[in-house]
Amino acid sequence: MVGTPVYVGFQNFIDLFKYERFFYKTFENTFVFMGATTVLGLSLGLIFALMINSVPKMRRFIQTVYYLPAILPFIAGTMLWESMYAKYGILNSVLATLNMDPVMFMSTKNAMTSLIVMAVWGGIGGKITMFLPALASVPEELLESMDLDGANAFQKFFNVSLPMISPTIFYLLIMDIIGGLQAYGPMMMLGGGTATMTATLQIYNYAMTDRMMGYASAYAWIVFVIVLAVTFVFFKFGGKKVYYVDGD
Amino acid sequence: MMNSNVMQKNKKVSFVHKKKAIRRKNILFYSILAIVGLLMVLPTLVMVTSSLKTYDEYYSLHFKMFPTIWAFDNYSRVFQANANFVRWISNTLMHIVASTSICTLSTIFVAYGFAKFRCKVADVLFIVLLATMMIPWAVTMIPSFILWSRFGLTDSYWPLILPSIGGSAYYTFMFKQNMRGIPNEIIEAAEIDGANSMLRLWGIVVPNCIPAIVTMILFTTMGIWGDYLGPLIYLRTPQKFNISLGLNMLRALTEQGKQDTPMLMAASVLMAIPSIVMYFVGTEIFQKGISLQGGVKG
Repeated sequence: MVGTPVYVGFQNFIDLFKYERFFYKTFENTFVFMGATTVLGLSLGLIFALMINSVPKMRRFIQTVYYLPAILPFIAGTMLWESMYAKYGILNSVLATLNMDPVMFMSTKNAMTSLIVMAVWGGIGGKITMFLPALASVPEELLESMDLDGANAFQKFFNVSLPMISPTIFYLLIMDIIGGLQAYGPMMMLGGGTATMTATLQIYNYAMTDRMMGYASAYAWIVFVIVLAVTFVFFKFGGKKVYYVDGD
Repeated sequence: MMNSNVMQKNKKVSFVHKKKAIRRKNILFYSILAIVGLLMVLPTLVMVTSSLKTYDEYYSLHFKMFPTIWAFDNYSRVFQANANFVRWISNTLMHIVASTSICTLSTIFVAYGFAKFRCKVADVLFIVLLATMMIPWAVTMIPSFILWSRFGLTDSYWPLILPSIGGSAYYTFMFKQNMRGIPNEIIEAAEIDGANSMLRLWGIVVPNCIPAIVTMILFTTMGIWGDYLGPLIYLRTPQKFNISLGLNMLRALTEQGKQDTPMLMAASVLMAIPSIVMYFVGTEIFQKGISLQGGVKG
């Protein structure tokens, strides 16, 4: 299946940079996808977790409801969204019933947004499940003492809760970045062409379909270096801002 | 006296006022959570209702949430859609049994080692273990494929099952924490009574870790059941497919330019049910069981 490798030096890398038609586009897509899903996932996850944390009853039930999308197997979920986004799919059917024009969800303009929506839908439950125990671990006494000092909700959050849950935020941030930079599942299943082609998807295509192992490996090395670099940057910048309760 | 009355009245008013504010906030939050929760559930609900619609009703331009004709035959048609459907399920079950058992056994041994045999080298090795979790998937995909290709083991389940011998870094961490919660006194007592190392592990430590172990088994099973990207790389012939790959194959069948989506949705529901059941069972056990305290009297 795989032949004997032929040593070509850096030719693969040169070819990638010179000839690969969508080389820069794939990285642009990768970063857009990673950025959008990370920012939306973490912020929405945190907001909903805060809301769930502050209401008195039914927390477990609400948390389960939000986590339900993540339980669906990958292929079932993506097939579901594919059928929803399709030209004659469910969402367009709803729009037609409301006498509105159908929307091409997987068009070049919309495809990335559609994928991001699907990814955030699936990811929020996991974020909430991680944030809730972290919020619960913020000591009651601290918050109560702030109440006595007359602090409003925002001050309580930004000065106490946020630092106390910053390790969780940091962990989720790093995991999301590493995962987002290598995303290729949704793009492979739902299509979208150049608009959604990510670097890892190209690696997969070149390795599995075209059997260009050396070329694909060079591509993978570049992705690896980027993941390392971005992770390093976030550790450098963010690492200092994270507050650990048990001392550094 | 007048002052204190006024002050008390003000305090009472502000207390009532605060309760009203809290209730207003709760109503607002519950409303938002309910609306967004509905949005979260809606796609799954659509999947189930679509699976029970007839082909014509599904594609009709007049959208109705619930079908008027309940097309239960979609579910039986799933099994007729491809002759391999049952084989796909049995393949996946075989994969699950093999991988989960090997992985759990291996993880128990490794975690026990990390938990009870402490030394500096062990600490370094543990960090290396955790570091393996950080290696990007894109990097290992190709070298792994080339490796298995040289062994001639592609288009089989071996590349998916054999790596389980290494255990799971994530669960090794969890088991290690769990096992460290078992007091050494119990284990030493067993040692005094003449138990060798294996007996100590399987007679004392493991029974105390059962909730964690069951959790691992359930969630690993869930992961393998839904695994698509892994088998996609290694399996070529349709008879050997996973249930995920099989579902993907059903999707490729088109008639009149439109897919038989209700049948696909039925297949998706069938595939999703075991995952959901395992998740709920798993979280129940997880919540009831994970305690990091052993049982030492006095």
